[in-house]
This record gives sequence, structure tokens and C-alpha cells, in this order.
Amino acid sequence: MDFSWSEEQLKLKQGASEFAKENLNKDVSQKERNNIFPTEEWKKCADFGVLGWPFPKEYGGGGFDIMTSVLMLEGFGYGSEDNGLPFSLNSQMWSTQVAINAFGSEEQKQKYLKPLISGTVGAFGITENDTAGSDTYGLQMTAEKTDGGYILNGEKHYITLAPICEIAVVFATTNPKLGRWGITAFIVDTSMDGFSRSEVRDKVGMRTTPMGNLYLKNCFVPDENRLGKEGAGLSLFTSAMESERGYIFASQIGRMQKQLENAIAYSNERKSFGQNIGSFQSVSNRIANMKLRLETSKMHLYKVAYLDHHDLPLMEEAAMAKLYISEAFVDSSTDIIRIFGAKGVVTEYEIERDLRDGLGGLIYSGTSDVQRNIIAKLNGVQ
Amino acid sequence: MIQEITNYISEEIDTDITAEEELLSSGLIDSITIMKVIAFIEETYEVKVPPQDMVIENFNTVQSMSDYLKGQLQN
Repeated sequence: MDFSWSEEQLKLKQGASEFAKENLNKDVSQKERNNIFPTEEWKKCADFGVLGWPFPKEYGGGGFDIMTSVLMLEGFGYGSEDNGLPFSLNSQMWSTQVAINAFGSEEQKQKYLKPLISGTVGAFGITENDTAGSDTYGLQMTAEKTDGGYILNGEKHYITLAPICEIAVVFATTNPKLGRWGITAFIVDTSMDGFSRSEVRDKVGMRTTPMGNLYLKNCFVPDENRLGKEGAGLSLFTSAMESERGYIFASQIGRMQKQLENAIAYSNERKSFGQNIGSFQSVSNRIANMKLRLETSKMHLYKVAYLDHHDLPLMEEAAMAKLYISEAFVDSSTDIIRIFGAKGVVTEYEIERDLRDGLGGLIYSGTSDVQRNIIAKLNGVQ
Repeated sequence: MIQEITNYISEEIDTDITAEEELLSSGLIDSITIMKVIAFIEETYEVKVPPQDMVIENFNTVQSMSDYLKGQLQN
């Protein structure tokens, strides 16, 4: 595997970083405190092409290969002070857009993928309140076949971007007798009768990413909005989750780089007992651990992208990447708080936000426990 | 082909199966094991199984896998 980058790739990464720094860092703290989605910044990102980087040019994408795309997203995360906006962008790209790109008809790609790449907000709904969390395929939403389409009934909960989405990919059972093999995906939009959603649900971190519920009540979805074959929902979900788990933290790795630089600068500047705090091993060891986590996270990310680029299986590597990077970010976010001491826990210094933003990463896209189950199973544990 | 796939799955799930045995609808094989079976098929028969084709009609029994694969190999 070759993870050396060309000058051109590094320039693209730098460009993404500079774009984020210049355009996305205004009033982050105030927006974060008040759960405000940065609409203007989202539009700027779409205009800059972020949502299309790894997607085909014929649908308005940038046509970049997957390795270049994740490197650019890493740079983007380095430049952005807000973790929520990169998370929203990555979430939409690696689930909703990937699913439509891989499983959509030409008509669906023209009608939905193109606008999504241009800035339309899309959600991806599988999780439900009662059964379908880690037991994903225990979902209760139904899709009953009728003339010309399906009638959907049910609710999706804890869905990223649900309160502001214009379209959503949702999963429903078309044949309950077949269990997980009877699940089918559909594209729904806000204009459909019977479609509604909740307000933004307050949460501990990623507060600029709106999260909420989708409600479908006797919602007629035409045949042309079925995504993939009947019963292909499991395959579609598995495929989208490989992308999401593999890449959703690409920008967070950029943030880890920024954390490390901030920690080093502070450890060289802050004096205690007459010397820089970095001269104490308790501090320097934490910084070394942060560096180790950063580099290991990069290796996980790049390996998934490499396998993807070469069309090789990556289910295990995506699970390992998701598990490792999410936990590494929480650990490094805790370390930087310890290094900054009281400043680390006082909100006005904006150090503690990373820890709050990192906590959700242990849960969404499959919890850390689920990733460990996948890894164990793929290694022969019965 | 049928015998090879049957042997692979029997070993994976530590249970003897027949070519007509329903694997997915019965729950004998879960979603992770079917991914391993597909990886085995792709590597052994040098064929690509698009995610869109991973539906119960094509993978519920070893016989249906074999029928699907023959179609793929002919294309």
C-alpha cells in the first residue's frame, strides 16, 4: 500500500483547509450553543464542491478518486473550528448520496443525487425508537404495495439532518416474513402527503448538526422512488455503512491534527513550577499519545480508501476505522482538556467542545460495541 | 461449484447443510456471514457480485447461488 501523496493532492488538501478556515469559523461558539445549523456556510461548502468531491462529474461531482477525496476532507476538518458542519456534510455524502449513487436509477440520480451535490439537504433514516437501534433490522416501518407505489407507515428517530432535510432515504419492510431480507429502501421527500418531521432534538455535542425524527403516515411513495430492488435494503444499508464507517471521520482526523498543534503550543508556553508544562512527562506523554492516535487514525482511514480504490473488500477495515478513530478522538479530546487544565473545561476557551462533539461518535453508524462484534465475527468468533 | 460453496458454508456455520436448504430466510446465515460467503464466491470464481444483486432470490440456498453465478459467468 502506498500512502505517499503527490504535490497536487497536497495542494488540494491545503486548499480545502484554507477554504474552511476563511469561510466557516464565524460565530461557531454562538451557533453551537444555540443548536443553529450554519445554512450560509453549508451553501458555501456546496458551491465549493465539497458534497461532490468523490462523486461522478456527470452529476455535478468533482470526480476525485476516493483517496484524494478523503485527504481533502481531512484538510477541510483541519480548517474548520466547528465539528458539526463537517459531520453533516460527511454524513450526507457517505450515506444518502453513496446509496443513491450506487443503487439509484439514472432518473433517480438526475432527480436526487445532482441536487444533493448542489446543496439540497438529505437524510438517511433506518434507526427507530423501539427496536431498531443496534438491532438495525428489527425495524417496524412498513411499506405496503399498492397501485403504482407503496404506502409507508412508521417513524425514524435520531436521524441526522432530519429537521431540515428536503429528501430522505428510508428503510421499510415490504415483506415482514423475510425479516432482514424483506427490507426495501425508498426515497421520500417533504412534498409527499403524510411526510412530517420533528423539531431539532437537543444533544450533548455536534450541536450545529440538526438531529430529529421522521414520521411517515399513510405516505404514498411512487414505484419510481423505490431505491434498488425489493428486498435489497439490507445490501444497500451494508454498502452505505461501509462508506460511512470508513470515511465519516475523515474531517475529524484534521481536527485531531489541530488539537495536537494546540496542545504542543500550549505546553511550550504555559509555565508551572518555573518551567514549561511540556517539560513534565505527564504532559509530554499525553502529547505523544495524541500524536500516536492521530497517525494510527490516518492509517485506518487511508487503508479503507486504498481498498475501496482497488475495489477490494473493506467491511472489517471500515469497522476498525470507525471504532478506532471515534475512540481516539474522545481520548485525545480528554487529553487536551487535562493539558489545558481549568481552561480546558471552561466553555469560553472552546477546548471542551471537541470532547462533547466526540461522544456521539461512539454511538452513531453502529456503536463501538457493534463494530467490535463485526470484527470478532469476521475473524471467526461464532 | 455447488459442492464447494456447500462445504464452505458448512464449515463457516459449523453445521452440515444441503444445496436446497434455506439459509437466509431460516436465519442459518446472518448478514455478516453472507458477506463472507460472497467474498469467497468472488475470489473463487473471479466474479463480481454487485451489491444490488445481494437479495434473497439470489442467495437463499446454495442452489440459487449457483444459478445466479452461472448467469453472471455467462455474461
